[in-house]
Amino acid sequence: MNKLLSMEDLRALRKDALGEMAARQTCDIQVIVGMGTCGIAAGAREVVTELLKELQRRNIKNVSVTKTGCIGMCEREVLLDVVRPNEDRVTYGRVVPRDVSRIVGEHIVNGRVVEGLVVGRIAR
Amino acid sequence: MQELSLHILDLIQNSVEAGAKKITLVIKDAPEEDELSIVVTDDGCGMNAEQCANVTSPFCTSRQTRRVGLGLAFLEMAVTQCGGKLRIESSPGYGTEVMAIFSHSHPDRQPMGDIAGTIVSALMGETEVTFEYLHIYKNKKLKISSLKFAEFLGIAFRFDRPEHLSLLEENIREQLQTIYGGESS
Repeated sequence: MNKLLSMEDLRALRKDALGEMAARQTCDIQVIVGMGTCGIAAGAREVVTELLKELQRRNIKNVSVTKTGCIGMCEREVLLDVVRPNEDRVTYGRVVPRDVSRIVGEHIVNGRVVEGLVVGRIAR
Repeated sequence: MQELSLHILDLIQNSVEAGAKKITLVIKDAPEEDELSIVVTDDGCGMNAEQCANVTSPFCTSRQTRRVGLGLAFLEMAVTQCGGKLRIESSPGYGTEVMAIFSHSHPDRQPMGDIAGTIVSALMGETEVTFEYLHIYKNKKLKISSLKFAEFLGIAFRFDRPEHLSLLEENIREQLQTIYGGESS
């Protein structure tokens, strides 16, 4: 995102945003990051920062990001789940920022699960 | 946890899990008074007197997944190791206020770390929460309100949209840079 320097930039941004919202479907891909004390201590914030950057870089709009608390798998934090519409929920474990571009590129964009990082799956 | 901002993230996450609709963060960075204080206030479910008294114990937790809860225990450690103070006030049904005061110049005082990344991570996905942030450095102030920010953008700001979160993050970073003018906390 470029810096906003004037009201014109802001209006342009607003127009873009309104256009996007109209175009956006409800069938978003969901990304969920574990943000309990365990997740935070393991580096969840750094993973989130990288995730937001990567989604911006690739100009991906159909993703919604949210977080969850501790789910009891503290030793496998940072946990990051990807839920594509009509597919199994896939949980990735021990995620570090450099894994993020792979997860985004392979799974979110192309629908191929990054098997090496998977720690759990929940059938839909 | 090696940064104060990570403790802040943990506190805000506690507020979220307590069902808060309004969360306020105040950071006062006052090197001239040798004080750095962090206050997180919420209107969540609150705690009774007994919970409140035990809450910094690692074996006190409300969650079901594990029997330990280390968040506030870590914060207490970070405060104690630099001769600071931790005060937790809460009333059931009204909310909780956590105040941590650190000695600014103490060598064991943890660094502040990435506040913009912290706030964005803390608010991610929380579509129902209003967040206010006040940062005071010497005589300069920064004030960010999630409602005002959404109004300013003129769009339906949503905390689960990566592009909106990135805008907020950049905005906080720039404003912090402005009040610090290149200095670091």
